[in-house]
Amino acid sequence: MGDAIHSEAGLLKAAQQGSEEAFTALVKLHADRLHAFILRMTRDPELALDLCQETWLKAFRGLASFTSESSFSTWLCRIGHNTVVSAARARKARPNVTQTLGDGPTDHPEPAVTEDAGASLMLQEEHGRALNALRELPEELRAILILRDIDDRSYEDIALILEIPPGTVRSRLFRARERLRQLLSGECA
Amino acid sequence: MKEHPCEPFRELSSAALDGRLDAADAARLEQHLTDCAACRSASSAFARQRAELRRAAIPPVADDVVRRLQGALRPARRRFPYFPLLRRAAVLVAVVGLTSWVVELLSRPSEWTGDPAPSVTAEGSEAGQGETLTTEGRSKDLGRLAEDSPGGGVGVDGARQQDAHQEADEKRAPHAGLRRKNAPLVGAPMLTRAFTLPRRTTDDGLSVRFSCEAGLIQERARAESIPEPATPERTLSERELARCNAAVASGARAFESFVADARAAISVIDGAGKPGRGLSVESLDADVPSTKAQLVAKRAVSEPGAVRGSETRRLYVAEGPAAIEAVRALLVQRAEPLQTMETALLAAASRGKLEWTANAVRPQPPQGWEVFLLPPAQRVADEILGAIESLRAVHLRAAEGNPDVGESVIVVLDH
Repeated sequence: MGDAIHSEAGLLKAAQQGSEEAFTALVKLHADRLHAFILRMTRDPELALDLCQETWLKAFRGLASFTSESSFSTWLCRIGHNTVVSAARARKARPNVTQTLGDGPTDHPEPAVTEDAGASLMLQEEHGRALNALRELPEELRAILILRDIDDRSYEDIALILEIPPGTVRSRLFRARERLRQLLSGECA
Repeated sequence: MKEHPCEPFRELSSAALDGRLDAADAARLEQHLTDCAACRSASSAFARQRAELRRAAIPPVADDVVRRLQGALRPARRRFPYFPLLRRAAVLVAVVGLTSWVVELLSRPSEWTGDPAPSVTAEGSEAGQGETLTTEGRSKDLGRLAEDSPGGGVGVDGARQQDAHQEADEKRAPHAGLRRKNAPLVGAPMLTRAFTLPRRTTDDGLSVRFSCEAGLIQERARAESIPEPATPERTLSERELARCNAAVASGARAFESFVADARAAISVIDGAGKPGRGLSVESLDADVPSTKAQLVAKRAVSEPGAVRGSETRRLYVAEGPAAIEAVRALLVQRAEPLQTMETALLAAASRGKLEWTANAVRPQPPQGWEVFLLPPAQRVADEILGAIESLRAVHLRAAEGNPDVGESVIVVLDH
């Protein structure tokens, strides 16, 4: 491959034109960040990998329609977020299934029960008070906190990922932080 | 429900945390915080909880994802028999598996330096004891690094003893990938912009935070012959190593993303895809200790005239206003986590809780080591200090001869 393919734009173009190598390189480039977002949303290591896989498959299918209006990472994360939300809805429709995808304080408060010993242990150890409180937030607040405060996404990218107006990002982010603060301080939300 | 009278200011505090306030709102907020203890507390809480959220690192899973796709793509291909790209991609992933072609690709001499491998030194502290370890290597796929980091490698004080262990480490340690100067900034090279550490065995598990620290501090210390603190040995567990690699990879991606954004901004401003005057991509990429430059730029924005250091002023402050403003905005945005880390370390150092390199108790940073307390972080420094008291830091220092000279990495470990 030439130099061009070493840029993300080059990889994307090549992948859209059918380059197998380029697509694999894209997977390698973005898999970890996508997975981290989904894992933090789901708190279930096995489910997170499943949803990552599903997200990548959707990305495969939509790759031809990807345009450079946003970065590939943002586009991919948007698919990932939608996948997580869809999975949460599906799980809610099946109440006999252990819920690990949260949508608010009524969700199961404990860490994921699906076993992936190493990753699960790691997650539990890493969960400080703020991370534990994060689980208590509604999905929309949890997502925006993860995207901004952990994943360090810009407001503009967050607006694209969550499909909300850019002006909403600031206010929703404030609500999320304030809710988290109240949870951590014991104040009633 | 009636809005709390302070709520607008708390929203401003939240926006300030993201560097999204204009000057007028910033002044309003500053005034209000002076008068309102509850909002000061809330503002500190926002910063503190973000710091805690960012503390957790997640190990890399790219290979797992590829492995999963390998199987999943076959049914996908059946569902979409007329999608040539998908078919080809499915075939590729199914065939390639985990034997990553990326390794071979990234190792090509045409793309990667054949210079002697960079030396990376890690210094850390544990219960008041500092430790150091070193590793050597050349470019290699990050995922593979995480997989096959061999055991061995003896922690040494990098400045004095790493030569003695270099040969042994080269044989045993994983290879650390480094992007060649002027290589493409995004794309495949991101995968190898990572340092790794020898596999170790230790008794406790740690979580990792990452921060890049550019080499101004190090270079200055070196230029003025300020000795590095002597550090006893320490060990890192496999878990630590995995987390280090994940954190470093994440930080590398953030850095690459920053450079790409800056380049895009400059291109837009310039209108011809060329770097703006005095804002060369090369300077962002290689010649300038980049993340330190971000910190400096952030301070330059908030405290005009306060920045010292001709290099950074020349590059980030003293050029065309439109370009500068656009790049500043990016810098401010990207600098935040680094600022937090830098400030946290400094705050701890200034209180004698943590040495600058975090491996011993020393009340002040070494003479000549320039540090920056940035205003927003200064306000929350006390809060950060509370959180950092339990932290331990590992400073991965680039050695002389490193193609990315000037760049180093601080990894902070906590319980």
